[in-house]
Amino acid sequence: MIKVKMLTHLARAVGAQEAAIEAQTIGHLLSALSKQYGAPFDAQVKTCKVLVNGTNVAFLKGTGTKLADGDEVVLMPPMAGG
Amino acid sequence: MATRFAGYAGRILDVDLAARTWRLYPVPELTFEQFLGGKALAARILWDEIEPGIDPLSPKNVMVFTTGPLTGSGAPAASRFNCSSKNVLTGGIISSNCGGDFGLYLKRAGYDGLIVRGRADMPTWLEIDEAGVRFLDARHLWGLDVEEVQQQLPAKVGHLVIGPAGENLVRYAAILSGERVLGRGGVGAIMGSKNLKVVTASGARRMRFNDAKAFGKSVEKWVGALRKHSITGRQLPRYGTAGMVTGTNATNTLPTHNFHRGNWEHADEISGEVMAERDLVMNDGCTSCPIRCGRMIAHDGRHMKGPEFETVGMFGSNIENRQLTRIYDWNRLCDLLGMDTISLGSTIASAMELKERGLMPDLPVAFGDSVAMDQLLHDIAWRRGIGDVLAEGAMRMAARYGAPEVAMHSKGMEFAAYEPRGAVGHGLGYATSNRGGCHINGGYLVFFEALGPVNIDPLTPLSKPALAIFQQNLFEAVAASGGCIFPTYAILPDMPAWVASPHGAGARILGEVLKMSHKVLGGQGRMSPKSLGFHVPLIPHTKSIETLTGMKIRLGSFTAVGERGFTMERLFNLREGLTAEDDSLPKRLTDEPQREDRPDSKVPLKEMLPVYYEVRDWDVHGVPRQRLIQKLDMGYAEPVVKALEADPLAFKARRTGLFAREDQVLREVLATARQRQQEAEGGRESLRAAFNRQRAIERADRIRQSMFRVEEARCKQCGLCAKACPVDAIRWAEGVHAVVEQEKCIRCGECWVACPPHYDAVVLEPAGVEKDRSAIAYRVIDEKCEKCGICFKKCPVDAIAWQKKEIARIDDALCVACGRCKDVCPPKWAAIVAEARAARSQPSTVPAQGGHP
Repeated sequence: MIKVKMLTHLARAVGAQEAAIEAQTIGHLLSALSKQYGAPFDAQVKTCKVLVNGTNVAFLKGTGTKLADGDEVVLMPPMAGG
Repeated sequence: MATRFAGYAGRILDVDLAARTWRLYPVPELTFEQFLGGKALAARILWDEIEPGIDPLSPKNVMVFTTGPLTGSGAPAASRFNCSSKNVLTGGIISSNCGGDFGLYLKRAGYDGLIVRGRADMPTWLEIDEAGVRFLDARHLWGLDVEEVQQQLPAKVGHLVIGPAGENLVRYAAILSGERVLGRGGVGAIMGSKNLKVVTASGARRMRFNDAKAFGKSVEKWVGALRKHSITGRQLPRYGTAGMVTGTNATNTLPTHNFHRGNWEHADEISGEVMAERDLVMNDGCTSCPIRCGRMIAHDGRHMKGPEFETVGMFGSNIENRQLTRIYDWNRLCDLLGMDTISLGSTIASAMELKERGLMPDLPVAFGDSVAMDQLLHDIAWRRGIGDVLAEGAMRMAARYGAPEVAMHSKGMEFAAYEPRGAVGHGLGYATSNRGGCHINGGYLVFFEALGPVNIDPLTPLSKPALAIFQQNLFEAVAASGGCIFPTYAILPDMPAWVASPHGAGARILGEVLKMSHKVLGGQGRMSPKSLGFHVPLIPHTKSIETLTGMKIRLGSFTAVGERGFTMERLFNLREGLTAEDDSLPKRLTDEPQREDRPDSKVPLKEMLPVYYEVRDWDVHGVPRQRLIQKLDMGYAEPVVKALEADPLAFKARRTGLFAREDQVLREVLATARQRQQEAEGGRESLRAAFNRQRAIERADRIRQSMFRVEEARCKQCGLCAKACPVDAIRWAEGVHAVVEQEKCIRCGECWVACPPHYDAVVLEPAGVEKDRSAIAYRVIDEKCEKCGICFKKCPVDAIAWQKKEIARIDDALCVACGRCKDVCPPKWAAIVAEARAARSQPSTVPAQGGHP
């Protein structure tokens, strides 16, 4: 089981901050979440980064990044402050 | 000295508190072009005005408050002003930036900047308006907290106030402007050391635009882009900066347990999401800001300001406190006491680590246990007991306990709430920031490495020096212009469709491109300011400044302003005795990996720093090369550069000497401050009465010498002056500006008092020798007075005392000689006469009346 955390306006759009999903890759995970949450998820996730155990998947294998049981995935809209 | 460029007020005020004098400070026009304003201009002024080696808390320190051309222009988020001075924590330079209203009002009063020197001999309130400066007695305000003082200030003026922490010289004391804070580097302590409790500014000068139409168009486009962007249009308005708690936690950049780790299992409990969903009433913003990242929350039965991300990080994960509501309380308390939450929170975390190691057993709080925090914050602000030690900041405190490694700082100033082992370029920024451990001055690379829409690998040193320099220069230029840096977060547009998503292949490619960016940005230090002579849509500042001021500001010349400002601050630091050794980070961050699974999760500072110096065109000792100085047209710095080229440690003794004697200096100033606090505590009511009376006397003096006129261009047609006029001498109707009919006017000044200071439409003009009433007094002839009290009732300035069956008494000091009393005294009695003021010798005994202006 993969633990998924959704941050700020993604969480607001789908009405949930956490989810638990079975998935082998990031690609599968995103499709599963898309099925579960529908259009609000699709609209927001386009601008979100995906982190697996603290590492941005852009520095791993993108949507092809493999997942293992117990991994934590964070979907994070871009943010900044000061 | 006035500049031909629009957008500026064209004058800088220079105040000497010791001599109680002021003048206009000459700034050559070229300096405005080269430094624009803000922190860059302030650094240039400090270079000339601060004698190297002085103690920051001595009367010789100079504070420079500056605005930028965009301040108050209506450009998005352009309400910023800056305070630069010699830093109480680092011994180098401090520039502290604030979105409060003081800058706007200073500019309305007709000044782009304010220089404050010397030390007043008693607690002082500087009152600034278009006519100049008045030095008011602030003894009755000394010892009060920020809110208590603010409640006694007139409405619709810009102000700076310090709290008890500033008076007691806490090394990270802050200055408040409304709810906004000049937090860092101990600027509040500097103000306190100068016996300066309050500065107010008011006026109604209008800004001149070079091309108002083009400016308006560029601003409209800019605001539209900010509203659409996911960061400036959604994340910041909805979640504030605290929205970053969960994001930094996810990216291992949230400092936890005094920077031992970059994430915390309880971060969700203190998140911006919780604040937004549970406690947020509305978002709030500085003047002219479309982003509105400020928080107004409901807590403890009232509406109050919510904490920023830095405060949540420092008072949350970094001390392992899980209660967000306690952070609300401490945030408010810090504002009341006037303390920087970043340095304070970090110092407390360092103290907790000392306690954990058994070195500071008396500390009443510990990681995960903050029951006694409120009391500790008071003790720090008042330097009581153990609070006196924490008031020194993390570096000094940790050294005293023999464990300097627990202080999370660079150059003496504590880091903001980003753990740099999760974003190593951000760490390079901390090490090279001129004011010490600052995220903004460091270039805020965490945005590119972890938080923003496109990321470069956070752990690679590649291209980080070049990116840090680009960002540092850009932020410096934005700050110089008077703008907030938040609009620059829209510099990376939301991912267009062709990239599909930041987690797709496009993002990876962009990340790789950023990794190679040193190939383009690596030559920055040698790039001519005349190159890049164009505007780019992603940095709309240049077009706005150009259309506002008429200056030719393009991308190259704009970033050159930033480069010049940054270099100026660097040179200031070097001249004060800082060296390349001070471009440092604690060993925890450079030598100990943050994550067990990533041996590279530490800041490779030694690898990045030489590249950083080279790209900046500094030598291996971190000294700007002469050709850079020539490129930036900073010939005045050449002697210092030459001395450092010959011996990079030429000035080091200045800083060691300063640190050796700083405690003695602080204790001496503190002793006087405490004496003043006792005096105020013992006689606050009589001091306040004396203050109010003095204000009324000064007001009466001015009124006697003046005539009154309504300036049509400023009149907002509110009619307050007409309603205040006791003799119907003001012609006014709804929608029509007021006019003073001079033949009817008795010159009592009530219209002037009634006109709100932010309109300032009723103006005083010298009455001239013939009409000056300074030498006239009115007297009640005792034997004729029928004790009816009509004069008392009709006196427009409350200068007459009367009680039933008592003879009326006119207070000479408060009487404006308008003659209203004589006019209303029934002719059959004619009990009031005018006579020469000199003929009167009776001192006034009437109690004080009145207030502002």
